[in-house]
This record gives sequence, structure tokens and C-alpha cells, in this order.
Amino acid sequence: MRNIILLIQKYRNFLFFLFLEFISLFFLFSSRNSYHHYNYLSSSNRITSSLYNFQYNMFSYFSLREINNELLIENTSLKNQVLNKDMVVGRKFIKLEDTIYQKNFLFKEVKVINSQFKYFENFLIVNAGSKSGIKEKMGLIGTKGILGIVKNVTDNYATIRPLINPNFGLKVLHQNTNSWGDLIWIPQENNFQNIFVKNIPIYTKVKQGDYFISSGAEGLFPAGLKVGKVIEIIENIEQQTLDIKLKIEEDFSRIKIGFVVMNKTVDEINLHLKKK
Amino acid sequence: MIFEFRNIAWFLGLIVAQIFFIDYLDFGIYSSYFSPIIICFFILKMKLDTTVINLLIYAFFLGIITDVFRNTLGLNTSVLLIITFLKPTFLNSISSKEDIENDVELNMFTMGFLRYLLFFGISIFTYHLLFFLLEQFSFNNLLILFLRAIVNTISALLFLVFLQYLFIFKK
Repeated sequence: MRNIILLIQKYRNFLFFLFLEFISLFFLFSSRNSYHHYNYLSSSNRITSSLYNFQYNMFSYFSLREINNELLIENTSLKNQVLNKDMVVGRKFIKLEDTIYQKNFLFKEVKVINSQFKYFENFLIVNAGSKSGIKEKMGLIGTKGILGIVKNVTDNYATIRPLINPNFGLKVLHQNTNSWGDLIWIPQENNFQNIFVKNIPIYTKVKQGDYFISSGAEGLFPAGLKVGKVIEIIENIEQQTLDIKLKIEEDFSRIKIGFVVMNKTVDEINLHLKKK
Repeated sequence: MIFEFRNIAWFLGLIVAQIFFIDYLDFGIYSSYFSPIIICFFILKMKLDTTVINLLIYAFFLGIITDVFRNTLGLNTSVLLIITFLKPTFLNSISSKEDIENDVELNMFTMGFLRYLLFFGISIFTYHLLFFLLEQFSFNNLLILFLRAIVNTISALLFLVFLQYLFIFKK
């Protein structure tokens, strides 16, 4: 017994080091999927996110002009869509308020108070949380294209898992041929401006400059939102597929605003997805 | 007492500089190569007569706070603990024990510039190497990993020189 105590005394530094190291490695490998860890020890908790919010309030003033321009461009495109839609051709029918049409998507405007883009696992923080009706697994879109999926929500803030995270997964469509592909961001090969689309059949006719759009499956995003533009096509002969490199529409180093997508029919869609 | 306050200021100041300044630097498409981490300076600059247990506790909390901000829970902490434990080894490898007095903080003015470069260079390079290895958790793309580690070490050393001229330099 005496010897054991002497041994512990002799190696107490090393044992203490091992103890702390064990705790931190436990954090590292267990916290990834644990809800409770993520709620308290992540950047969307109250203290850290309010600090990020403070920083955003100080520095967002300098990029107001850029934000304004982006919103103007988006406004014009939306105006084009809306004004071109309801052109009166004849006066034979009157459009009544009916129950056949129902709004499918609701949008909640948010500010992106912190955007990581340099690391292996990048995250965004937005300044709206469960008090604003945001829940996990909702989509986030920007002014040009899709941004990410809500990962974790606290009262006033939410963490987003963006496209540029290796754990992000989404099915996307090729705009011209409607082929399905998988979005994959590989941190060793991609930077924050490009992303891979894999598992597209080799006979698909894909050209440079084509767009990939969101499919609308899983109810996360409305169909037809732009994801990125094709810049490089690599043929994978062994698997008979194409590996396509996209340039992401959104610039993750300077996003300031986004819109959280709430799908009203998401429960129904989930019901069908689970049955498979 | 003044020493304590100065340490607290360094502790908080390094975290703020790391999270709200260095992490926000934008170098366009090359910015994934520039993510230097300077928080280990707090551990490395500590006096030699600080006990290892104290150092380990400092390292643990420094790492945890940074990790919470950067959403990499446990990553900085584990690497920082290893660096803390290896600090005497690095120091012995570049100089004999009598060269540096026990109650002097280690920085480029007390150590001399060359020894600063060697000691801080080796430790910060090890930090980045272990950090990137643990982050990607595989041995793929080792060459790019080494390149990133070297680039980040150099930029972190430069930034630390700048910081020391600002806050430690006395005429």
C-alpha cells in the first residue's frame, strides 16, 4: 500500500495529465452526437453566442453596402417572378380565395452572426432560436442559394451545419437532365468555395457552367434553389460515375443574412420517409 | 498580485485575439491554410517554477473555452495538454538547465530571439501537427498537412512577435 502511494506521489504529474487528457478525449469522441453536450458546450450557448452577437453588431456596420446590394438583386429577381405570374389574359374567370392552394414554405429572416470557413468541420451561428419557432432539421438558404441545415437550437440562437462540413449530406439534381447526385465536401481536397457531387451516372450529359439545384426531397429546401455551378468534371471509370466539382453559389466567407425554411408538411414527408 | 492580474489579462486577451481576430482573417481561397493557433503562448511563457499540475489546469480551461467557441470540443484541449506536458522536454532539448532562470517569464526578450524561435517554433509546430492529425483523424494527405502545419507555425510565430513587442517590450 505504501509503495502504491509512493508510486502515485512520484508520478502524480503524469497521472493528472492522463486524467485531464482522458476527459478531453472523452469530450472529443463522445460529444459529436450527444445532445446534452452540444446544448451546453457549443458555440450556440448563451454566453458564447451573445459574445459573437456583440462582435456582429460592431462589425456588420461596415458591410451594410454589400448586404444592401445583395438584397436589391434578390428583390429584383423576386419581383420578376411575382409580376410575371399573374397576367390577366381574359375576364372569364375570377380567382377566389380557395382551399386548394396552401402555402408550403414559410421563411424566417435571420442574421448569420458567425461563419466558420477555414476548418475541417465548419459551423454557422444565426441569431434566432426556438423562441422564433426554429427547430432542428430545418433548411437555411441565403440570397443566392442554399446554405445548410439547422443542427442545434437554443432559446435565442441556432447552430447551422453548412454545405462545407464533411458531415453534411444532401441529394441534388442536375438542372438539365434531372439526374440525382450526392453532395460531398471533402476538407482535404475542397476549399470553402467548391464542393463535389458524386454518384452521377457516367452517361449523363453534364457540361461546364451547368447548375445543380436542390431537389425538394426530404422537405428541407424548396425545389429548384441553386447549389452551385459546374467547374470540373472527372470520370470515375471503376464505378462508372462522374465526380463533378461545383463552385458554390454562396460565399461562406462573407455571408451576413439568411432565411430559415419552415416546411408545413414536413411531418407528413417524414412519415413517408420512415416507412421505407 | 500584479503578476496574477497580468496572467489573467493574458489568458483572456489570448482567447479574444484567437477567436475574434485570428479566426476572422480572410485570405480568400487560401484561408484554409491560415488558421494559426496562438493560445499555447500562455502555457509556454509561464515561469519555470510553476508546478506542472497548475500548468495542466490552466491548459485544460484555456483549451475548453477556446473549443466551446470554435465548436471543436476537446480538440484544442487534448493537444494543449500534451504540449504542456512536453514543455520541459522541448526546453531541455534547446538549452541546458542553468541557462534560464526559474522565476523569469519566457519570451523573446528574456530568452533571446534565436532561442525564442527554436523553443516556440518546435512547440507550436508540434501543436499544429497534432492538432491537424487529430482533426482529420487519418494519415491521408500527410504532405498537405505538413505544409499547413509549417505555414501556420510561421504565421503564429510572427503574430506572437508582434504581440510581444506590443505588450512586453520595455525600453
